Amino acid sequence: MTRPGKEIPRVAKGKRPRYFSDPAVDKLHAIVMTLVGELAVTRDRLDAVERLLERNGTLSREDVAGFIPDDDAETERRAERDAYIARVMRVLTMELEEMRGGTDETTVEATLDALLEDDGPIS
Amino acid sequence: MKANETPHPLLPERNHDEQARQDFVTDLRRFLSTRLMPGNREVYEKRVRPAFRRDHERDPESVREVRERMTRDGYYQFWSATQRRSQELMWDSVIDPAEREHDELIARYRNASAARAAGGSLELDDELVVPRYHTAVDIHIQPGGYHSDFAEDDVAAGVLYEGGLPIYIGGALGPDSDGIGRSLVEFAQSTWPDLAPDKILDMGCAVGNSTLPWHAAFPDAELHAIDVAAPCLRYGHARAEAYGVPVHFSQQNAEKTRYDDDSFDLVVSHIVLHETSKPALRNIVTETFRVLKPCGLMLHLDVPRGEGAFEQFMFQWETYNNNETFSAYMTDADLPALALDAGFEPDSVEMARAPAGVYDGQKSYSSGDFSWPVLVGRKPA
Repeated sequence: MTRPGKEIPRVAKGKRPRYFSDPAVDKLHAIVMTLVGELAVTRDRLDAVERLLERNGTLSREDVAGFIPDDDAETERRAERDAYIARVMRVLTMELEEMRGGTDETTVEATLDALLEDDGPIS
Repeated sequence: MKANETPHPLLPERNHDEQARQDFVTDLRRFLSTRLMPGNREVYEKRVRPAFRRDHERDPESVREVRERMTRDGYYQFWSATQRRSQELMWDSVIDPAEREHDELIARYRNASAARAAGGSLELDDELVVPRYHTAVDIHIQPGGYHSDFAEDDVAAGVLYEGGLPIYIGGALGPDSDGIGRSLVEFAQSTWPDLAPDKILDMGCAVGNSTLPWHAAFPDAELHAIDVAAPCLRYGHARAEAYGVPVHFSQQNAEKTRYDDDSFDLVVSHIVLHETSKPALRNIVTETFRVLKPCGLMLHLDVPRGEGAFEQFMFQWETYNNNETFSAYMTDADLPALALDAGFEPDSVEMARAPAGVYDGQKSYSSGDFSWPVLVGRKPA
């Protein structure tokens, strides 16, 4: 689908303004807005696929809109959904895990020092 | 016209995802302008201004004072950041199909320029130095600005500029992106019904989208259009040929052109002045005077600046966030004074307002509430 063409630069000359007090927030915001766009494109594409399949007689969009999973399917979907949410939100649960396991405050330097010590003969 | 159809062959067709991406940005910008942007005034009135009054026992008096407070407000920050991001996403969405069709679009330009079917012309000048107001930063954060060539005989800057316009402005300039030209034509013809120019010059024409309506209004006039940006001129030339409109495009700086004294009956420009510089403003007005014939008419249309500190602050968003750096100077610039200095007939010099037409869903054209400031002046007899 893509043809090679002469590249057009994507970055404009001129300093990008800062909007938030923390530059990390500027970056997050930029990423999030791109994601919002990509999701919109994906939804449009899914809409295209459904319309084409309907035109083709493979399915009806009404069936898709009205699709209710049976009990087995719903059980599987709930498990998938739980795993998906846990994956996406992991950074928050990680903080609790660290607290419960005893916060590891060991610094890089301390670990390195330990690795420089002579451990004795290899067993 | 279907969503991905193009009004002329110099714009690339978009595949499904490319069109969807552009549609997303268009719709995001409509959300921003109709649902979020107006909230800034409420925020100002309900939060920012009262807080300032508590600290200073007076209202903010300058744009700078408004800016210091508003840019620290969370609501404004999110609107502003998202507005900026929408501009960046817009260019990305426009570059995708342009890059894919880059070679083909250059070929179409070469064919159109060789054929010259409409009788127009193009004269480029390799020696021309692109002024600093184009090279300092990329205006509108369009990568490469108006003037950069990414290939031989490049037209990409024009493709990007016109490709972005309907997304940027939500289609308000119409399917041929000529809304501003039409507004100025309508203003000229209604103000001076006897206007019958033989030679017209459009200064800073970019891709010629505002130039073409002058041919429709005055089909017998010789129509000239200049700009410093070669890829926009190449694109504009091929585009005008595709529309069947003869325009004589040339790469010249409006501050100092190669035209003889007393050449034109009418000199116009469309949203150019705010993208130049302080010395350029004076030079463009004096050069306009020089190339006009006696009794010739100057009409330089530019963007509004707003009334009062808050409105002026909002209009300066483009200065601080969209690389329209010079435009802040225009807030207080005295354009009529430049025209008087240049020698225009004092009674004729004024800042008029040209009502902006709007294109509704039926592609009809009617006056909206918005109007464009126009620097008017007539050269003495």
